[in-house]
Amino acid sequence: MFDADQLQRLYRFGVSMSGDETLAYDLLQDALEAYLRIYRRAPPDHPMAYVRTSMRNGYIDRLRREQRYPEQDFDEQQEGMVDLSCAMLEDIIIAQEELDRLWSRLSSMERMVLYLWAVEGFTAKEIAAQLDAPRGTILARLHRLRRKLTQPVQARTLPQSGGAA
Amino acid sequence: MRDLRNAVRTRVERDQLDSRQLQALDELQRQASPHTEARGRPAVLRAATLGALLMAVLMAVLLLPNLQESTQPLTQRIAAEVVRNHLKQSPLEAQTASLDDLRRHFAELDFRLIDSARLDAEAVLVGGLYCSVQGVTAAQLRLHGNGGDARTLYQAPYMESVFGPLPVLEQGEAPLRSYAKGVGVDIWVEKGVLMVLTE
Repeated sequence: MFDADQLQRLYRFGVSMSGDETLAYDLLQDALEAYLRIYRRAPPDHPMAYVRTSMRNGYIDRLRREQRYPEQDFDEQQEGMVDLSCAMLEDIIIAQEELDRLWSRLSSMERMVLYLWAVEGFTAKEIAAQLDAPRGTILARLHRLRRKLTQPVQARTLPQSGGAA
Repeated sequence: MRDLRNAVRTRVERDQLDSRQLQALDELQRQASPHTEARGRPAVLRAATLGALLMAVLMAVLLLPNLQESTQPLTQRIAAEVVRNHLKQSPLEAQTASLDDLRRHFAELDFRLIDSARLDAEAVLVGGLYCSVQGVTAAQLRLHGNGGDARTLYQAPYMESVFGPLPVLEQGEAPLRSYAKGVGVDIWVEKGVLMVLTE
């Protein structure tokens, strides 16, 4: 069963994904009901991952019904992709206000990637597994995120010496 | 300025389930928990009991300033539940304009779907799906009104112990009107069946 902390994390994942608090709650409730129907018969190995996947599938179903499912332009040919990983986000510093301003402008996928990296501590490989996307896709998203997050004036990367700016 | 990881965490942690939502999700899990699951596993039972006790204490602390939410009238809780499902517009399990077809389809119901006297002649049945109302298995019938607006009619076996006292149509009593998320909901009993109709 899920405790209060786990439920909050799942809810925050849902809000990060959908950008809508009411929808996130509905998705969480539906996913929890689905989990509770199967967990005694065939308990999933990773309950949190199972519910997040269920929430994401529910969200995609809803978008498809509303014909709002976004086209995915996964260009895996971007230069330097092979060497990129979540480490490319580690040295970014940003003003809280700037991130808050950018947050709603990020895509659902970008917010999910940031959530799983920053809050759940996932690697690119783990993010790819959770979102059922090729690792190259996730790496492309990380690359674009870095560009987006370092373009504003307030965002700076840490100097190579490692000290905070 | 701060590192991106902590900035994301700060942003994300502003989104929080409130105490009412946490209680509802906890209740969902509690209803699904079997009473004899821990037989033969005393250590797990002790851990589960301690976890439940801690959760109860946490819930009591969280809910203490919000007691009025837990005393929300039952009709309001019914309205909130059906409006949530109504707004979802989940895919229909059976698409038909025939109530007889729906009766044949919903073979798992332990009551017979009725043709309500309160539906106006212009309401067109488009289909239905299984659902539940306050934990009781129900049927959700989708209708289109004269102007094409979608309405949802829930039918479930009426039990006063579950749904409380409700107006009975055959006794000339008017339905109860409640609202949730701006959607009006009428609740009544007809031929022994709980009827809940969204506008």
